[in-house]
Amino acid sequence: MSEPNIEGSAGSAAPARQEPNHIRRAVILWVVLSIIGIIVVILITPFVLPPASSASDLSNADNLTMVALTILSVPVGMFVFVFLGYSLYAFKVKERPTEAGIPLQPSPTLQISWLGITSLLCLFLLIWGLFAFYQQTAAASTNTLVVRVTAQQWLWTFDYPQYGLSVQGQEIDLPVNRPVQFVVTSEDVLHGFSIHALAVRVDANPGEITTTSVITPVQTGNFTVNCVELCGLYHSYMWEAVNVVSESTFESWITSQGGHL
Amino acid sequence: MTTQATEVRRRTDLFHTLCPSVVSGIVLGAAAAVVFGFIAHLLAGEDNPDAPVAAAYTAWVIFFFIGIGAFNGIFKWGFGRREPTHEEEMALAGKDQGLWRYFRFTTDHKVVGMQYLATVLVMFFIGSMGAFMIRLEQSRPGAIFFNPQTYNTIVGMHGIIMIVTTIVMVSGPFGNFILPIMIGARDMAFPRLNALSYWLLFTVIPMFISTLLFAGFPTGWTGYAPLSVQELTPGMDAYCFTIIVFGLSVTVAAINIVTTVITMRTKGMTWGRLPVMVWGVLLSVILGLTAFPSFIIAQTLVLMDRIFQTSFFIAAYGGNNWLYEHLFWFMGHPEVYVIAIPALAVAAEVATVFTRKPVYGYKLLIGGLIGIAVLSVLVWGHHLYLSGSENALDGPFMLDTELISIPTGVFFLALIGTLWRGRIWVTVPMLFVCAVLVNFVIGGVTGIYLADLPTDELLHGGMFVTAHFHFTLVGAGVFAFFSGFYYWFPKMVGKRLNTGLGQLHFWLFEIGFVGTFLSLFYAGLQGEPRWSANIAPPFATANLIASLFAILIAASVFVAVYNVIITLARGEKAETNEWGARTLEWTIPTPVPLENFGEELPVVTSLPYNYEPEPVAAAESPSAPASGSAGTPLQPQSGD
Amino acid sequence: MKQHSSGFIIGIVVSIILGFSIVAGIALGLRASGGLGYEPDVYRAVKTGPNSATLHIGTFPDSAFCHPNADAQKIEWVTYCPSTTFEVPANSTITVIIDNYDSATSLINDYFSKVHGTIGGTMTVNGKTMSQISPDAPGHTFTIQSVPNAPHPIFVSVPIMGVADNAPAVTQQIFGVTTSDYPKPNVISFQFRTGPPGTYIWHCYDPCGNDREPPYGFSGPMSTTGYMAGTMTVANY
Repeated sequence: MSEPNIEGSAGSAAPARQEPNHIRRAVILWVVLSIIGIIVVILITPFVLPPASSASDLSNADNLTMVALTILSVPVGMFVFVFLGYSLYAFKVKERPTEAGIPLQPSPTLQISWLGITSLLCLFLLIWGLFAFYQQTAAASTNTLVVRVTAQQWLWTFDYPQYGLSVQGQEIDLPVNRPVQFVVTSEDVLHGFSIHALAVRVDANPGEITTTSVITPVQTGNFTVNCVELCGLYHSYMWEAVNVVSESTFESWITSQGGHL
Repeated sequence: MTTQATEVRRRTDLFHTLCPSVVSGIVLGAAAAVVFGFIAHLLAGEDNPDAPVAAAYTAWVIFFFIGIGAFNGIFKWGFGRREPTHEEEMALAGKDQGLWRYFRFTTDHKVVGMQYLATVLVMFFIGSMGAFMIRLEQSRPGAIFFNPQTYNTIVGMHGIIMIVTTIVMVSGPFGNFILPIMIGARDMAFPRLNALSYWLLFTVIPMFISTLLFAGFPTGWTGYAPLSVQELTPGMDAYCFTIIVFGLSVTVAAINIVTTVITMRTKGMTWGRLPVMVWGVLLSVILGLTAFPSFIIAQTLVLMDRIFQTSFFIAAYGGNNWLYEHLFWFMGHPEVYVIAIPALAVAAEVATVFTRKPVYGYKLLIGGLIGIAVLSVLVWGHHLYLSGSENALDGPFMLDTELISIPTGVFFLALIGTLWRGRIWVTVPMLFVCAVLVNFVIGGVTGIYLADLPTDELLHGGMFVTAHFHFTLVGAGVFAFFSGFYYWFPKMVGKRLNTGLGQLHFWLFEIGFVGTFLSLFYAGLQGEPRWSANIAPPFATANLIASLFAILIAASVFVAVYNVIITLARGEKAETNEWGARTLEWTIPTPVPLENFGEELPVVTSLPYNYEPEPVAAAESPSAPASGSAGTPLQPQSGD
Repeated sequence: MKQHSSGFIIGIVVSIILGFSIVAGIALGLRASGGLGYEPDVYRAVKTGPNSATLHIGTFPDSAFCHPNADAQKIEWVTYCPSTTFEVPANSTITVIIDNYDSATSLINDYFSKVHGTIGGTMTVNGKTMSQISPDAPGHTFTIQSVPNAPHPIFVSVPIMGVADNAPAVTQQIFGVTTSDYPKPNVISFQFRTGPPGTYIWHCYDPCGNDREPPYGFSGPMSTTGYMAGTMTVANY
């Protein structure tokens, strides 16, 4: 006996037929597991995104977006896992089936609700992302430190034009709590300039100049610059140490390297 | 019947067996490669090591096809100004040639499908060897197993071999063997082009492997200029030629599939009654036709920069590497959907069979697939958020990319709904479909992190990206391929794969895969860059765990190989309708006769998803005008 | 249909073992392939005391001296000899002597015309102490870099003065071999200190790969270990 066009929309009771209300059970399971999942995400965030990665105002903002996206993705993932798992548990047959499954089809209401909800989710993500993006493109203040970065195979060069200083080798210093912007280019091939802890990342193109957003380091510490675009033999050795230090330490570093304040 | 006459007959037979065939193709192609390479070397001089290599590859392809007899038809029938006779067409389709038809320029779509299947499996094996090398090197800090140059080549080879294989993995074997039968046709629209598309893929493989003889290539699978142009040794040319010839293969196959589906559907098979799998393959090849020319162009320009010293991509002479990036990613993004769409369609197709239910929301699902295909052409800029190019377009590209999540969500609704209240028969293909759902939701959700600018800033160029695309391309794509493989193997080969080994393959693969790539997600969140020959100490533990899980993946590959070998050797014969499915390929006998159907082609009256009631043994009579649905006319058909 | 006969299980085990041996075979094959990227044999610095050692190497305008079997393209490449894989003792002062037989190419980054990271910040060129040379004068540089997050970072960069373009070839003993293919070398010497054991990489930052504009100058030998790039291991010995 067939049951054509049964509505599968959440909330309506399926015909009982002495069967448990599958949809209600699955939805309850989904809600409970999503709540547990969100709590777990919030608890493990400090272990997955270690404190060293929130060293600038931008990386803090970006990490907040990461956590928000993860919290949103818990119910989405749980929807698939719960309904899949429940189906395998409740509707499995042991041998080759002798009967057909119930030929459900989505009602127009369900289709429109589904499209509507997923669109709202998408819109929310989009607005959040655009908002965060346009916040980053704030203009530089007068106090901004400008660091010119030149990439070559396989070393980073840093210039501090405001101090007349050119530093290569494997260590640079940045002052804490002062906005800094990186102006990047390459001598030979494509490189990817990245200071992960400060949320600084932009490609270095030969013959072109690209700039990062203006960021302000908010805590002192030792971080690294990596190359994130494959550039040949020693791509994975292309690193420098970035030390975020106090203003006074920074100034003495500048003079010790030969720059002028 | 003197022995002399028999011997003469045998000698003649050996010659005619081998020529034309793949053997004569290889011999002639290799000889021509050496000759033309040498000539180019003499003409170009010492300073141009790329010219002989380019000449050799071009000669290899052209003379391979001469050797395999691809051009024989042009002379016999084109210049001879006559149509081929029916016997000649049948001979070309491999009639009465036994197993040798698989080694010739055979036009029968079933032969081409089997050739693709064997090639896909071999290429997956080779590509996964590359993957195991990568995991070996990345298991400990430092470049201790391989020199970084060797490692970069391995990474690039793994990437391209897997990309090439996953592009053809569904459209090649199943799009060729199953699709024409599914729409009720006797062959494809352009049988000779069909053979051409396969053998073009075949010629690519030795070309690509030859890069190992020419010092490899340092750019990874993306082949970014100017690194690709800078590279002095000719290994890079192997990459460029591989892409160009492969692009030709895919274009030829795409034209064939599109024409076949549009013009050769049997009576009653309207667009609204087309199985989901056919929609998936069709959309994917149309997308491929849009995207791959860009890839071919990009590699041609790189070759010109390398061999003829032009400067499309060299900034010092007025070129720009952003040009390459745009050309590449205009292809690169639709290309991942070329991989994903047919895989998802196969998963949906298989799911209906093992839940004994129609697709939940057929029109919605097809609309979703079309939506994904259309949107995918508009989003390539999300690979370029941090390139410095087109900063003003970052916002619009983010909008587009987020929009793709809507049709993708529709796919999940369709599959979850198909499973819901079904009679779920957990066979090996069904296990793989469940894994597709689990892996694809993880892969799809992590894509959002990369689509959003604020988080892409933290994650671009890191292992998070690698883990994301492995979850989607492998977790959804390759798992769906295996689902189709276990599902259609009984029809294509006529034997039953061992279920226990299939389950072992599945569990080893899924557990190993999820373990490996979840560890790599973690490493990416810590900031590990991609393409790291040398793992820095902070990421060592995560990479070690990933490599340990990869051992399980390796074991699963070997188990699957064992399964295939023992099944081919002494497997059980499969039933004609092994799974009780409703699509047309299960109504014809196994092995499938040369012209698929009998005197009359089938007439279709509905979607092939009505499972009520369970049919008796499938119709053996080849001339039965069976409809695609075995349901009685009294049952209301839910055609949505 | 499940068969659990012992032959079946043996089959699974055998295929897994066979599979892993194929993996091992491919790994060994790739390592052995000289063309793909190879590290020549380790060349140890000679210890001259409990905390000191000397590393004596040379830079050559072609590969004939220490890559006699190189193919037609690579034999033209500039190279460091006798090896590019060095081992030096830990916690020591290392004296490096470089004999340069190659002529000059201009630097694209003037930073490398100065000496960095050596003891005293200087080097000696044919006996004369100096801390930088003209950016057009180096034939090569010898630059040691640390691996990411190295516990004891080392950064040493020394420009290697090039010989004159028209310097005549002389007969001389180089690393114990009599040869008349190369001119009289410039001898560059400097010292640096090592810390605890670790791995470092080094390569040349003077674009001597090809006489075209960037990026070509850094291809070829410049990006090939065994020629102008290699590793330096600090070990206890």
